[in-house]
Formats: sequence, C-alpha cells, structure tokens
Amino acid sequence: MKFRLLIVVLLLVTVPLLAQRSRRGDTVKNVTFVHEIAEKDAVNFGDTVRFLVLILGKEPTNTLASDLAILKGAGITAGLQYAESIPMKKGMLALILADYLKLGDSLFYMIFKTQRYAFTACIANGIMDYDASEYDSVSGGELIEIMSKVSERASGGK
Amino acid sequence: MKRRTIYMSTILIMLFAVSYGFAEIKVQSVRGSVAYKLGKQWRALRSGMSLKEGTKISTGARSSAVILLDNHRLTVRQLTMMKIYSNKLTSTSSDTKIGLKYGRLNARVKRIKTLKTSFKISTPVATSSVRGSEEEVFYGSKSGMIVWVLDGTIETGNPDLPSRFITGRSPSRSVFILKPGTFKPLNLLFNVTNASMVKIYADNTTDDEKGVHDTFGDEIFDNTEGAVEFLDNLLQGAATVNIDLIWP
Repeated sequence: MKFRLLIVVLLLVTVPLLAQRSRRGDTVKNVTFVHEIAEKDAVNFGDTVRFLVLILGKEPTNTLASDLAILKGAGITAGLQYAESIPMKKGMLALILADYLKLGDSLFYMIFKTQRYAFTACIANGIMDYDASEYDSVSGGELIEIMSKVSERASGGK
Repeated sequence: MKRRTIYMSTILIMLFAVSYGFAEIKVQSVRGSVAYKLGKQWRALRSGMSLKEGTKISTGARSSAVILLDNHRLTVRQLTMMKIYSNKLTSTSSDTKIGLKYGRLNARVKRIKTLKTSFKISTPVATSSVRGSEEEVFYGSKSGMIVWVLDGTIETGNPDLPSRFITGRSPSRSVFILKPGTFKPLNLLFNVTNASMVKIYADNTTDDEKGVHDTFGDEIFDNTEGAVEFLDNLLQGAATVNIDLIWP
C-alpha cells in the first residue's frame, strides 16, 4: 500500500517537472529556429511551413507532411503542393498568406486566386513591400518581417 | 571604538557605492517562447529573473517579454533578437545601451530630474536615443529601422547622418524610416504619398517638376535634397545666422 502511494506521489511530482522541462526545451528550440532563419539568404518551402505552424501557436513536428496537416487543419489549403527544399518565392508565400488571412479586398485575387494577385493583395494590406516581384526569392530576414506582420494581423494587431 | 566606527562607515559607503554602480535588470513578465543567452547557451527566460549586462534576449512567435531596467520599461515584442549592452546607474546619471538585431522594442523611459538619463537603442543602421519619453523601434533587414514616437522627444542619428530630434505622439504614424544601404531617412510623408489616391506635391513644385515626377515616380522626389542640404552644400557646412530677439 505504502509502495503504491509512493509511486503515485513520485508521479505527481515528476510529471509536471518533466512537462515544464519539455516546454523550456521547446522555447529554446523555437527561438533557435528563428535565429537560423534570420541567417539564411533564401528560405525554402519547408522553412516557411514550419514558421507558419509557429505563427498559428502550434509546435512544429519533425516532418513536412505533419506540419502541412496542421496548416490544413487551420484552414490553409492554397499553395501547399511543393517539396520541402523548393526555394520560396514571394508569390508562393503570398498565396499561402492570403489564404490564411482571408484577404478578400482584392477583386482580382478573389476571382483568380493566383500568386500574382495574392502578391498584390499582400502589398495592398501592408504585409509585403511594393518594390519587388512575385518571382523574387524570400530571404530569412524578410520572412521574419512578413511573419511578424502576419502574426500581428491574425491576432488583431496585438 | 573609534576605529570600529571608521570601519563600519567605510563598509557602509562601499555598499552604497556598489548598489549605485550595479543597476538592476529584472524580467517583469514573459509570454510564450522567450529565451536569453549569457555565455554560450540559450535558456528559457522566466519572470522574476535578474539579468546581467551582455545578455541577449530573443522572442519567438506570439511571444513577448517586459524587462525593467531600473526605472525604465522595455517591452520585447515577438520575433525579436536584442542585447543589453550596458545598464549603469550612478548618483548623477543613468546610462542604458540596447542593441536590436531584428524585431521590435517598446521603450518607456522615465526621466528623473536629478539624473542625466541616456537610453539608446542601436540597430545596424542608426541609433535612437530616448529622452524621457516612449518610443517603438523596429528593425528588419528589408524595411530597415522604423521609429514611432509615442510620447515626448527622441534623438536619432548615425556616423553618416546628422542627429535629429523628433517629437511625436502617434502610435500609427512612424516618424523615422532609414532603409539599409541608404544614408538618408525617407520623407516623413512617405507612407501618406504611397497610400494616397492622388499625387501629392510640395507647395513650391513647378509644372516641369510635376512632369518629371509623373514620368519617373516618387524615387526622384524622395532622393532630391531639401533646402537645408542645398544651403549646407553651398556654404560647405558653415553658416552664420543672425537672429534678432524681439521681446514682447
């Protein structure tokens, strides 16, 4: 009886401690991921998907397929058909973000749903800069800036 | 007995001096994924922690931290990387230097009349000095340095840019934008002209200049020198201004 009680007490003490430790590990992992992105001259599709999972407030997994499943679960379906290592272009990113943020104030984007008009919609909403093309690659620093704006917008500017 | 009093007094004076020399850096609150680095390893930041000079702080998505540096409050917004270079407090001055690698900070600086207060936030392109006021500073490798003055006055500058004092009180309108690779901040009406449905010209713009503007766009106007720079070049930096003060 005493032995069982001891095991229960031990479990009650260790489980929260382990969970807290795991959360701290996730904190460092998430922050380190952002640092690695900041150093990249060009990001790929896998980096973008992982970053967007963080923006959604979820923990990224180890595979692209499960990260994509998280995005699809959050209602993001456009522009997710690429391989992990494909270099990210601004148009590709704009299409995913316009779908996530439901940017509906651009008539052409609402009709055509193409990268070109998604990019224009993102510019009109202040998410991307006007002095670029949808074919330009996305640097790590740029991705952080864009995701920061996306996160602010998604959380109502907080 | 006399010797004992001298010893005690010396110890008390030393303690008093030490308490002034080491200013306090304390974490007031943490939300989401926030880490700090002192030395080689990143660790999770927790509220109530005391930090040292040279500490780097980094926030993840949907995360933030509030740091108290003596009487000043620094809010580290999401997706930010910054470093506390120095934070010194003496009986006559308060001196804080923050480095912002990327992201956004909000600094609320308390000015105490008896202390000479200096609170500087440096980015890779310029430094902003808060002078008893509140400001929001952003730096990104694409957008450059953007400053919003929420209350009071700030001073901005870098070795290539003459320092300028900026006053503001609007959270929605940035008052200083300096892009990487440029030496001159963008026109203050930059956002207004970009957002406007019609073209906006200065009062003294001639029809010919408007024609050039229609052909070549905003770039030319944003890069032309203003009256101050023109006079400065003409006089090679030295000018005499006579002012007659008329008292009412």
